[in-house]
Amino acid sequence: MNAQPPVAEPLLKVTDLTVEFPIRSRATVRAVDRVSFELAAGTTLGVVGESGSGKSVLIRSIMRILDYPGRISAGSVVFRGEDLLAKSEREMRAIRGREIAMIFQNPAGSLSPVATITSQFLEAIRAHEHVSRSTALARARAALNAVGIEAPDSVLNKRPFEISSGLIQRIMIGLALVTGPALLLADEPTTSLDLIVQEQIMTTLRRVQSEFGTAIIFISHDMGVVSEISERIMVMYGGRTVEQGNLQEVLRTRRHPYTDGLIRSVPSSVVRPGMRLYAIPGQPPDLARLGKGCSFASRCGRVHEICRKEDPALSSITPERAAACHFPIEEKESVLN
Amino acid sequence: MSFFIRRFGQAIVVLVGIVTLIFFVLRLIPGDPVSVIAPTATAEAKAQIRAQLGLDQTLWHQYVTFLHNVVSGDFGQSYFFQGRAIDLVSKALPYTAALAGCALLIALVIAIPAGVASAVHEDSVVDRVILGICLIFQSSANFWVALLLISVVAIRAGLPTVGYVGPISLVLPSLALSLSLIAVLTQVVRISLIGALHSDMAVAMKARGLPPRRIVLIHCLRLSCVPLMTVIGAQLGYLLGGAVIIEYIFNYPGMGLLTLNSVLRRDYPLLQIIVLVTSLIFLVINLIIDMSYGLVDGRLSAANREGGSSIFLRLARLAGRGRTRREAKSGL
Amino acid sequence: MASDLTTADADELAGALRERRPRKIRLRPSLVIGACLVLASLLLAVLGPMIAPDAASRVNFSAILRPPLIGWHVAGTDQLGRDVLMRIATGLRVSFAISLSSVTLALVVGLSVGLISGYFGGIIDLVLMRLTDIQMALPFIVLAVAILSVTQPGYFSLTVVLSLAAWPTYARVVRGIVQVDRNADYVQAALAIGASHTRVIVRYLLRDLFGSMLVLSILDVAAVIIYEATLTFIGMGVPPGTPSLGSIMAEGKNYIATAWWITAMAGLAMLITIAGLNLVAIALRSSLKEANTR
Repeated sequence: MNAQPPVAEPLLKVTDLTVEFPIRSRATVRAVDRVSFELAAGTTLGVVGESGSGKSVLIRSIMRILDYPGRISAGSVVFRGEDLLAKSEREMRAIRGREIAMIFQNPAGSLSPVATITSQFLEAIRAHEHVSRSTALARARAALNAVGIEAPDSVLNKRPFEISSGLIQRIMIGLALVTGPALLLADEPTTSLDLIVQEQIMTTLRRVQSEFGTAIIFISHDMGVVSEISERIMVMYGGRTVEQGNLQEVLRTRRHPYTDGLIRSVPSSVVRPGMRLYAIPGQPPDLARLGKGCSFASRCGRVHEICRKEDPALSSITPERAAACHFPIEEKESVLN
Repeated sequence: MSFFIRRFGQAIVVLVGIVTLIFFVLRLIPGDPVSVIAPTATAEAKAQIRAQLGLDQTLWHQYVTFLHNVVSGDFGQSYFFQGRAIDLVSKALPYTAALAGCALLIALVIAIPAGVASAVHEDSVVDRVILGICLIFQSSANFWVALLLISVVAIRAGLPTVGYVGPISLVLPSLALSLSLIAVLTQVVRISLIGALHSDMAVAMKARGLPPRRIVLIHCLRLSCVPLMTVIGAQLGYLLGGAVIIEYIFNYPGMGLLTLNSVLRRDYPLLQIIVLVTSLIFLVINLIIDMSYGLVDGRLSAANREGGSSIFLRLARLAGRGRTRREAKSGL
Repeated sequence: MASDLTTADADELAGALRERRPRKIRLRPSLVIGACLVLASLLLAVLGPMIAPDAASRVNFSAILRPPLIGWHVAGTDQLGRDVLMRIATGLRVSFAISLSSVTLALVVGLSVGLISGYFGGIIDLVLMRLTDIQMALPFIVLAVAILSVTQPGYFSLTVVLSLAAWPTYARVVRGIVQVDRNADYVQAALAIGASHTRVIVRYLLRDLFGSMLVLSILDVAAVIIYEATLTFIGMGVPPGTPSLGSIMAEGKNYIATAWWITAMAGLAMLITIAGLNLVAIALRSSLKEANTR
């Protein structure tokens, strides 16, 4: 008899999270609409979607650093057994940068342009612990080593504007890791970098996964990049989850037409003359004007009458796999390559 | 280094231009200084005085003599007062410097906290009240404020309103002078702070769990230093212009009063010296400010600015480089 | 051939290349408040002397130095028994007249200089900008006093001197905008198909400048009103005889301890006017910026 190992409590469990933004005409826009997912410790979840799909708002809500007009209107975010939404600002401050850390799309913009790297590391460490300067410095050096910077002292005394952007992004990852967080939120960390630097960052992140065992939520609009590093994947559209599951399964057997479209849009390495790049027709939805029915209906190649009338709920196909579609695609093999 | 030498050279050119302009403007317009100095003298006596002062030479000759004198350090005698022009100026200068310095100090002490409060509570009642007060300060003529201060405060609080009897004489005049400055500086701090508070940097720092007081006061405020310095440099002209009126009202023995008197009496040498000294001070101070940018914000050090582009262009480019979240949000 | 195209064609092409953004100016509360303040001031200035033509100069020795709100005199009377409010009204007339004319003059000069400087560049630009540098390096009051002390006293010289305060700012701003616009695609296209320089300037560049010039002129009117009052206060502005805000305050200065209202009211009137003008300018500037970055 095969005894299953006991299923541990997930590191992060988000349930029905809804985030609203009021807009001028007194209506509200739901940037995140009833999103739910679980993240086990040490695993990586990739979140994919176009601009406006709500992915950035999602992770900022997890950390509760959402900018003023937005508010979390419903749902729960349970981290290590505690609901983050119920915590006071002071308690959140203790968690931010310590147990949950975040890296951003614009690396230089995350640092003070005029302070040295050393001072910014010291500041980040000492915001959470009272340690001596030498201890903090040692940790900073260790963190920089861990992200692949062999000679940390060469960057420590510089200021951000004197350092190249690839290096800055790695320094940012180091800064996020120096306090040993259990969860790293990555908001499009490779989007503004060129391909070579992108690869360096992905390598660094893989190192983070294997050496530190940090759980990662990796957000991007680039399906290809997300696939390199995630174990599970969640596809968002119009603020809602449209598909969720293990990476390999989702890539192989797409259920939701949008996921299908995304995967087909990744340019393949086989180019035939006259071949056209596939692009999903239409525009992302205007969140202020979402009507009834599936938000993807206007762009879907498989749309039926009911799609425009009823909002498809996220339904489980298997315990680990879910899709929000009235007519999910049947199992079929990938048509790529 | 060569960057600053170039700047200095430019400044000298402007300086020479100013002095030349004043020289010719004063002499080309009607008005005979000799008649002002000795209105009751006979025609002969006047001719004698004129010769003595070199006013009977051709204009060009006078200019050359003037330049020659300047270069050799002789700035001439004041027509009206006894004594060398330069002495009068050097006596009055410290008073005005004290006045301007005091006004600037008052302005900074009030403007920085006000700007911070305004920015942190953007769009709230506090913000609007502070902006409203700034508007009132900016819209009041400083001589009117001086008069009000005299009538309301001085008599009751026993503060001196005439001349200079000690440092206490600085209180009212510098207060009047500082009002407009408070308004301008508060708004500078407010705007740059608001920009910093909405920037990617502020969000990232919050995500790192840094205490908000630190984020605002240490990091964001530091970014306001450069705009503040620039604006202060630009306000020097206002400070001196304002000083003229304020000193007139309070009979305060500074450069402003001296300028006014020398103009009214057509005291050319004195006026020339005043203009020369004033412009020199402006240029020197602006040069110092220019050099200090590098100390405050490493990005603006001389090495980075060798390209020679104006400081304003550089600042604008820097501001544009960090995408603010507002702009990124347009793709919500 | 380029010469076959008519100027209408040039316009159409340029218009097509240029992004036409609809300009919706949002009405802000500050704009309305500011406009009301300015309007109140204008009404006083225009209607006041019409309603009570001689109240400003009617001397009444039995009612000297009356505080405000006694009898008909809303703002009190001065040392000769004249109604302070009506004197202020006349003074406002003078202030508006002078500031509007001098700002117009400054606008014309500054606009031309800036256009020429920015458009043609080269040595002309260098010389003209040095000229503005030199003038901006001097505090305006000093320059104004220096010039006024040697010219014929009167409205003309005052207006001309006051216009000196603003023209460098206009010139610099215009030059900046023109330099950017000159290299814009639609301008190059228009020139390429044969539009003359004047046409380009007049039809395209001026349109872009309109907003900034409007805001700057309003701010300038405010500044000039203050400068004029300051100069008159020290005796170098409006010739004596006509009440001006500055002269009223100068007269009131002698009675500041007892009849404070003379100076206070005059300054208050000026404050309201200036504050209104500033508010309008600030509100306009924000609304224009919004409309342009839509």
